[in-house]
Amino acid sequence: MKLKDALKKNQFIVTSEVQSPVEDDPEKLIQNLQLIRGRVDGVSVSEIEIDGVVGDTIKTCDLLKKSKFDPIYQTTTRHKNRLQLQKDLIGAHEAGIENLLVFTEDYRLTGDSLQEMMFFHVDAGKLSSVLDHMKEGHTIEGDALPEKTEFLLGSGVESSWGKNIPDLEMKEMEEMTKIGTGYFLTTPVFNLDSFEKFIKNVNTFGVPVIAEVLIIRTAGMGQFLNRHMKPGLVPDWVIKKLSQAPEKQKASIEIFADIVSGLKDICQGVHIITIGGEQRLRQYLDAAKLK
Amino acid sequence: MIRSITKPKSKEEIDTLLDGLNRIFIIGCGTCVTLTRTGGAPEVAAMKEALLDSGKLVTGQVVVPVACDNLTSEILNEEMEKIEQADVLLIMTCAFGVQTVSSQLKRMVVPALDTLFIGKETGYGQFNEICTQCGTCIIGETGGICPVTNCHKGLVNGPCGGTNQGKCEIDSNKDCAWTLIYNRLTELGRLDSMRKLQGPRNFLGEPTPGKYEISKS
Repeated sequence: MKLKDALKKNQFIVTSEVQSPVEDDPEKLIQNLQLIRGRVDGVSVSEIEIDGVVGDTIKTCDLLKKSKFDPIYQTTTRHKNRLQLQKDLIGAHEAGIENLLVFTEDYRLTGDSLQEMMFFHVDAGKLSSVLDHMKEGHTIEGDALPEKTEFLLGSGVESSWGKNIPDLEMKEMEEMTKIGTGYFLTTPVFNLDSFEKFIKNVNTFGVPVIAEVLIIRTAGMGQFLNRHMKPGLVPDWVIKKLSQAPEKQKASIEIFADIVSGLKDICQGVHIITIGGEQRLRQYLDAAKLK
Repeated sequence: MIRSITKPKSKEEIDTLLDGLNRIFIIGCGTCVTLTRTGGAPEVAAMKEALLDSGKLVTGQVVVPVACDNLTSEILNEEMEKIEQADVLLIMTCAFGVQTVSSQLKRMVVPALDTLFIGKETGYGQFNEICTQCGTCIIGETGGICPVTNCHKGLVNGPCGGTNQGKCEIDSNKDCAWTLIYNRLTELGRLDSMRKLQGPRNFLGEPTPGKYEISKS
């Protein structure tokens, strides 16, 4: 079933994220994903990576589609002006991709290519101007497109609660709701209590919320993410449990299953980030009783 | 008063720029770089000592009152004998001063500073950027606070998810511009202007290099 249809039917959504490999053949990635065929409603292919370079995202989406997965083209407005964004979206549409997931993305403080320009100015306003033009069947320059182009839009939102003026927490979501987002995808969730407070406030938008869940396989992985992505992203209790566990994988699966089990009662789905462990995703889905 | 805010280039970079140039005349400025302590009289004296220690010959030095002023050439003319003995002018001013001297004297110049931004002193020894001179001012809708300059991402539809207790996720010493805007608009009873989705920013405010003629405006 396509992501669009699963959302319409109010099913508990399961999606996962992969990255288009630079060195490996993308066919290998598809082979790994065959283990979870029929158990995910969509697979997003991310265009950004902490090290800077990823493979051809649209090509990987195309391969996923041919392998009967519903691909989600995941891009960021950080690296693109409107012309590049438009070019990529036209390419994605021509490849038959129906789902689009867009994040503004964080300001890059670690990783490679830190001196490169970041187009943060391409925020919700700019994204909506590109999507609106394409929906009407022409480019932002006014040139006609072969057909009207519309995506099921997913928008990234910050799910931390209590770190801002409550009214401001909602503003970004208000804007994305106005431009017609089909669902919200949150930042990684570990703390179910604070996430539930967040959800109570955002339910008023009437837009499904899918929670991002990271698969942390080792304590070192959690520490790496805290060091290079965002301090405090992976909580101490996760790192402690993994470092003390005699069987790391069992502990990792338990953490994942507990979080997902709690989320089932709170939001409309989960987006699973495997961080390169797609071949093991099936065991995690089994443990969390996802489809 | 607005100021040109500078920081010293590293010794390694200055050594590289001065490689093979042994006779040096140093120029400082009595305005912005004196305020930022990057090119006033004490810094020029310290630079002279450092150059002498590294085996260079300093033919002279001067701290002009306002390096970016057209009158700078008049002051430098008084030092011309020492300037002509030098292979290079090491200029401890902002880039405006360096370019003014370069165009006036037509001599080899090496900047000793990096020009960071146009800003003002907001506390003792603290300087903040105020305006990026984008040419498309939007502060009429943001309570007089510029998000293009003060938001790290330059968002015109903010805040982003990185706002944290009124500070910016990339630097807890920097205020979140959109929290400042929210608070200001709340005080003014104009939060409605923040709820409006701003369209794409116009990046063609003034194409580089900026040029403006009153007769054509």
